[in-house]
Amino acid sequence: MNPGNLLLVEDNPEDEMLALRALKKALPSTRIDVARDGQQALDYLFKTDAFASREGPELPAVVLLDISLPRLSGLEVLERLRADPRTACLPVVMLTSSDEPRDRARSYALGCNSFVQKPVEFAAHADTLARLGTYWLAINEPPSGCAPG
Amino acid sequence: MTSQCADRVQWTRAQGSFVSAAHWRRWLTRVLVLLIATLTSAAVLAAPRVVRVGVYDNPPKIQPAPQGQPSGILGDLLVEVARQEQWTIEPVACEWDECLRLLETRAIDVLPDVAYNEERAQRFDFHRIPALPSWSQLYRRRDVTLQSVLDLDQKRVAVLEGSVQQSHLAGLLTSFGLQAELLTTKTFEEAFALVASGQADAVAANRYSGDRAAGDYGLEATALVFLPSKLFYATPKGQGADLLTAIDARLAAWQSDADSFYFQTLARWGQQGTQTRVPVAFWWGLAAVAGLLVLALCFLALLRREVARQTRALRESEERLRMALAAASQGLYDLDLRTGQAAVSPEYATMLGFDPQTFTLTLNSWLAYLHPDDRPAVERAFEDYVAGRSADYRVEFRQRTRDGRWKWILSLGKIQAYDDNGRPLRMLGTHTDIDAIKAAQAALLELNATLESRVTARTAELTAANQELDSFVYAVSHDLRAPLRAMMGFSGVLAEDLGPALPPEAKSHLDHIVQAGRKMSALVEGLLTLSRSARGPLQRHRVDVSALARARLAELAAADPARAVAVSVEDGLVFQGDERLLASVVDNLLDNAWKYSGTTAQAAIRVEACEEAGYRGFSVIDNGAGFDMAHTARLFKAFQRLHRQDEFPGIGIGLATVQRIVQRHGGHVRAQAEPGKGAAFSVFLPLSSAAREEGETP
Repeated sequence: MNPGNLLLVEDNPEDEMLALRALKKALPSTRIDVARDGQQALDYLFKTDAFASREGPELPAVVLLDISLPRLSGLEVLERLRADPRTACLPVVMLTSSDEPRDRARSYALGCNSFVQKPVEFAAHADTLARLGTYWLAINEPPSGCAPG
Repeated sequence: MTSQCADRVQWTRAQGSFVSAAHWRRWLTRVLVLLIATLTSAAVLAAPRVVRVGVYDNPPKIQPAPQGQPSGILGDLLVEVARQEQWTIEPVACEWDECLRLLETRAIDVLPDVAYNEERAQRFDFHRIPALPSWSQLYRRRDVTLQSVLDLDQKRVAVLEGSVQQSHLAGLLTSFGLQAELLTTKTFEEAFALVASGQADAVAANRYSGDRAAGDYGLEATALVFLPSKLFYATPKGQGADLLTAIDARLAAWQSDADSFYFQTLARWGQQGTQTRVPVAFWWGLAAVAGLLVLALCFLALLRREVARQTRALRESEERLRMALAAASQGLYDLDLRTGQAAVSPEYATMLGFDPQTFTLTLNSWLAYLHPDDRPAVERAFEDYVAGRSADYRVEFRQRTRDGRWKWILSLGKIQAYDDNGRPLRMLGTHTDIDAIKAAQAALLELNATLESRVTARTAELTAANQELDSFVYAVSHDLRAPLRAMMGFSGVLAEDLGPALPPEAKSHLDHIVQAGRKMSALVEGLLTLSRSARGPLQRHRVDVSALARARLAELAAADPARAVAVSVEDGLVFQGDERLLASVVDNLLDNAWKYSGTTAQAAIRVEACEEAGYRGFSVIDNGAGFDMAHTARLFKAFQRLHRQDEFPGIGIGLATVQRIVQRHGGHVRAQAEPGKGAAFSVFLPLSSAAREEGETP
């Protein structure tokens, strides 16, 4: 069992509520933090600004990152994370409404670990998020000591 | 004629030594003649001889005297011979033709004035020494042109019937291929009268009769002299040898004595100038010269005619060339490479606005006329060609015109002559005015340049519009999906959390919200697919439609396991195209086939190859609901449906997407259907994009 928590980066409150509902059902004991734009996500992860003195582990087990975000887009956030040695190996799952091939290509090129489109149907949506959470927190082994080139 | 005779007299008188030599010979021959005469008279006395003489009228050679006795030159000579030989002359008057016949039938014994020829020698006997040398000549009316034999073409020529002139002229006309009419007459007078009255253009006669008659009839002698002949007395074949011997004896004596009766007779009949002091042989020589002259004149006339023809042809040819050059705006130059002097055609000068009469050109003045920007390249091309470093000389340049403007010229040239050392001597070539072509070229280039910039600008506009559309579609995909997800998500939450507690009516309302959400979701996805099918680069790869079709049919069967549909997919449906887009085509067509065969008892779907000229493709055929072909026009339009939602749900975007994708591949889609019987949709792709299975490398 991964002891880590999960960071959801989502600006849409309805999406946030639905995602949290599905995730909490699947991972009742996991701490889930939310950032509502790209900058907040970075502040949270690098413990800067408003998140300078936040509690909990240094880094979450996984970041579920929307692409379309205010201030800094999901792709920009991903780029900054990969550029920083501290977060270069941090598991990041792009969770987005878009199924644009170019978004997918760009995300992988920048080093995302997974790319998932949010289903529109309630059941499918809940199921997808439950499985994502379970996989990354219960099945996947986290990186230990990342040394990116 | 008269003046010519006078000339001859003077000439002969100038030969003093010749005359005095003849004087001695004359004395000798007189003695001989006396001796012969004495001997023969003695023989004749023994048997006086009656000689019937044919007399016809051909003065001055022969003509009847008032008593019918032969007169004229040959008549008088014969009478004198007869007097000395003591023959009794019995004149028989006849016309020429008749005379010959009388002689042949021996009705007369002798006929004077018969020209010797081979044919006549067969019929008659002749003595040896010619009685009178002669030739024939043509006489013309003053208004008739007759300078050479060729002028006889289309003329009417009068001749004495049966005369040597007649047969000779006939042969002459034939050999020159001339069309002339020979009018025959019984007498010389008639012949001359025909010309004088205009019924004939010329008359042929011997020079004795001709010269005489010409004056009487106002005709002129022409230079056309022919048929030198010798005139004799003729007797019937094998009869009259004594007569001929006697005549020869007299003639021999007379002709060697300038004061003899013979020459006195000639003088009396007006021929003194020609014969008095000149040996007979001279006349034969003259006749031969005249014959040669005739031949020479004929040859000259032929030559002149040929030269005239060639000159005319040359002039026409030059005229044609000149017209062609003018029409093509071309001038000629002829450059002497040793001196640098050039001769040019008038067109060369006028092309540049100069007066052809005064325009002169040298190599250097030409170079000075060239545009400074063009001159170095032209000079180099010229030098390279003249030095043999290049095979052709063909340059374009601007040359200054008389009024100082520049004119574009295309110059071609070729060296036409080399000296013994292989150095070029002469260069010929053309100058073509290509000003108009150059102007058109420049205009075209400018147009091309602006066209390119316009295309660039338009492309930029289109690119911008496309990007705008892109971001719009992107926004739709994102922004419409989020509220949809919220609507459906919270409906789901409600149903999940309060499900059992909800009154049935509320549950039904929730279902309607979810259904509407689903439909809207399908619309958004359809719009996105349609939009994506129209933009983005087309990737061309090998696409296995058979495999795509089988996969989609498997998905459909899995999603709807209750249905039993007989499916068959032909193998080897392999094409070149964009895999994602062609997959969308296959999916849409199969989804439709699946959907519209949903109410058919024994549903069947086939995917098979199809083709038409230049195209190959595949058809998706079902036996479902079909549709009325009258509505085909609406079939491929977005959001247009042929079925009610409660019959077959749908959003009306699938076929529009199919058609757009196939058209982007250069192909087209055909539909064939009948209500209640099924539908067949055929996708035709151009052959270039069709890849044959066996030709593919795995």
